[in-house]
Amino acid sequence: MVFDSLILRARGLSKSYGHESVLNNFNIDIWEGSIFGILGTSGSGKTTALRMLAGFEIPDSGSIEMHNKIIFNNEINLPPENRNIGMVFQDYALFPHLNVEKNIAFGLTKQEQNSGRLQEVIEMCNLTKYKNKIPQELSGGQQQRVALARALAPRPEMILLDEPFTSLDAQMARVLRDEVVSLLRETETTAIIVTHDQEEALSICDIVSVLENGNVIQSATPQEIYLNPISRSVANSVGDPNILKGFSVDGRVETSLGSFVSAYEGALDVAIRPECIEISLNSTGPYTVKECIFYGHDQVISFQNNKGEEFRARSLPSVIYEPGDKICIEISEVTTFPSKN
Amino acid sequence: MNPDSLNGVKTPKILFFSNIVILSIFLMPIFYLVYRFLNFSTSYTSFFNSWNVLDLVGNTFLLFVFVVLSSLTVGISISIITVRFNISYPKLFFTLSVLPLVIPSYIGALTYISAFSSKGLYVQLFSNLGVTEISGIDGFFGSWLVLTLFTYPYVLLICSTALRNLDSSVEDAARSLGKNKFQIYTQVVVPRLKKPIIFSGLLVGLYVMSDFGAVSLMRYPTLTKAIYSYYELKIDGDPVIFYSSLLIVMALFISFIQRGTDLSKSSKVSGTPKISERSNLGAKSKFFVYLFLVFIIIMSLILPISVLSYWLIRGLISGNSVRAVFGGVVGSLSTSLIAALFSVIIAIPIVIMVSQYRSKFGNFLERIMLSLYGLPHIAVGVSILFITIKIFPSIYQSFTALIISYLIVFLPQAIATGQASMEQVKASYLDASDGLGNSKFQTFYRITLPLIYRGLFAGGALVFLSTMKELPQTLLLRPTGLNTMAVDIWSYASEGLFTQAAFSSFILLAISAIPTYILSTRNLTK
Repeated sequence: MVFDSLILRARGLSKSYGHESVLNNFNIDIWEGSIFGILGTSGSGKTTALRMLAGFEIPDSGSIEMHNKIIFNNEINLPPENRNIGMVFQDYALFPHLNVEKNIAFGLTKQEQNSGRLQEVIEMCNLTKYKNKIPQELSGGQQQRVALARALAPRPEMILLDEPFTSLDAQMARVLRDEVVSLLRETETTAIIVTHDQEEALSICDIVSVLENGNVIQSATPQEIYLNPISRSVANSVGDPNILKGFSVDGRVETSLGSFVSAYEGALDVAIRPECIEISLNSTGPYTVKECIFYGHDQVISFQNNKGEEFRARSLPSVIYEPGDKICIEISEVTTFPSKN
Repeated sequence: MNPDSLNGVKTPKILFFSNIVILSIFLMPIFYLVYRFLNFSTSYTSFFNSWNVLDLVGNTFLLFVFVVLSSLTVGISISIITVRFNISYPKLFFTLSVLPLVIPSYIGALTYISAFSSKGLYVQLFSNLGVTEISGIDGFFGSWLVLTLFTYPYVLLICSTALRNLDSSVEDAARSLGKNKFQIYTQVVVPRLKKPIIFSGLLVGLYVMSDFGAVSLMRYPTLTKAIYSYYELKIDGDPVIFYSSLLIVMALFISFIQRGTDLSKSSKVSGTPKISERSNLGAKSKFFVYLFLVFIIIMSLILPISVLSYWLIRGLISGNSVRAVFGGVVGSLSTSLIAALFSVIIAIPIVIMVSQYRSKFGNFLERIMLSLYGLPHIAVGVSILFITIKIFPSIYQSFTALIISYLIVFLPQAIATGQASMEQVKASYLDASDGLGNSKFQTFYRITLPLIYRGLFAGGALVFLSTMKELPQTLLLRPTGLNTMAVDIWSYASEGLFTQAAFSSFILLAISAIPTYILSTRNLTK
């Protein structure tokens, strides 16, 4: 997908509570029409970042621009109600004293409500059946739809979604994820999704920012993040790679699983994703299968070399591996980055 | 109430029968009033013609409406100020504003009468400035003022708790949908407080309708005052019964509506609520906010306490002795302790029946108990009085009859706190205990009781407090020779003997301070 104009730019946003820094020099660029993911574990500062963009939290420093107009810096602070940024809260925050229809109508003026916008949004989100119910009567998935409809109704410049699928069970989350994404694409709505779920971030976002301890470590397309993580922690936050220590001399690094081309010199970490290791049964192979966990769509095979070091490979479910089987491996892709220590 | 309860498990027989007995004793006053009502010697229309019924009902209703509105205004304002605005010492202001709750309405009325009557404090203090006569505070205005000042804390407590528990992410949502700070209050906060507002307003209304102390001292003719006047005249039981029945019907109606506002639903939020930040006030509005808080605290707390102190000191100087109030202290303590003890013992089977065995009878029992909470004390007292005269003369004017009457009115408090602590007793604990070989009784003794005894204690303390402050039932039913502080205060105050009344009031407030302090500082239901 190609995006050509910037809708929001945040520079140097920082926030600390007492001595504890929650967000440190947070920068992002959001392209109009894109779905942007902020990926991080709990406590990484991702929700704080989102609340700053919405205007609920005042940064200690930094600036936010929307359409090249400053909405926050050390002099200006546009209140949340004037930012025209919609928000879907983790707990949905539906108004318990209003029914579904009134919840969705909440951000619309009387004229807008009568212009058919209300009905349009209700239909768009498949909520016609539920419009007279109160939020407490709805299932989690339905509440989620109402929250999204309510945020979309006033046609915001962009919408922010805070862990939108966390409170749903896995299957429901997948169904709704697809629905939400297609709705966002259809309405060409810019969205920022905060999540701790790597699969979610990688599968629905155009750009992903990995946040750790209040710092953005890498912002890139999902493919880039996955295939070329710039650090060991990014590699760990998306997927579960084998990390090998090595030392690179003249662009080549020797590891327990062979020698690879390296962009750096000196002490290195080499990350090899389990699915980049292709294995085959071979009675004279140098590695021994230790354990095999079967997942259905694939399986993860733990194997050892003769020094007892352990690695993992992912393979299609067709071949059966038993502990003790001898195997050969072939590695298709590796990533290297300078070792921290 | 408790989703883990043992659905469909049969209630033990002993529990069932003890509850039947309790229930029938509790329903007795109502049944008796109904029975008497249906067997009047005079026709109903003559009631309306002869005893200015409409006036009394009108007066009661007028007071009801005005006190509810003013209490709500004061209570909600202080809730919002102390919970949501960035003022200095919000906790101190909150506590000082809640404190008037411990002052019974007759002591409140006593302080205003003794300060502003023609031989009151105000005239005495300013007589050398030429003040000889003031119009005084009494009648409707006096009753309204006193009842507002001593009931708004109910609204404050209930609404501030609800306000604190409001999940403010909903308010964030409203702001992200384009509403400003003021619109948040009108469109989200206050509408979401609708239930606690209605609930606390009706609670105040019930209090006003049943109040006897303040209106009788202020000489404002309401139903309760009429009941007592006719009782004192002792010409004929019919008007007393008639007014009591009328009062009960009105109270049951109000408490029926009140229970329709299910507070548990409105305040329930998923997970921990996000706490709202305090909004900043401009210097000018801050000044008015402080002025308002200080005014209310002076009127409802500082003025009453200062007036009482003045009379107390004057009394002590002029030689009032402790002996005069001693009988009242002993009477109050003994009746209150016994009522508290029995309320706890009786609450146990009811609480267990309702929470652990959600049988149909349990539900019924719970509903009856809850509706009994609104019963006007004076009407229950009247009913018990006539029951003992006509049916059980052996306990007429006995300690037993008095305690039964107290329990009928105050037991719901013990049940409510007991129920709250019962929420911790999950059905799985009981199953686990049964599974480990304990009998039902052992399970009760080893699991249930240790988990709920604090709640029961709290309930007992509440009943103790209420009994100590109780006035009309004691006036109607006390055995000859038994005096309580409440009766002393009221009688002295009616006769204008302010120094004696102040003495008893001080001791009453001092003794109630202890259980109130314990109840407010510790969460005894957990």
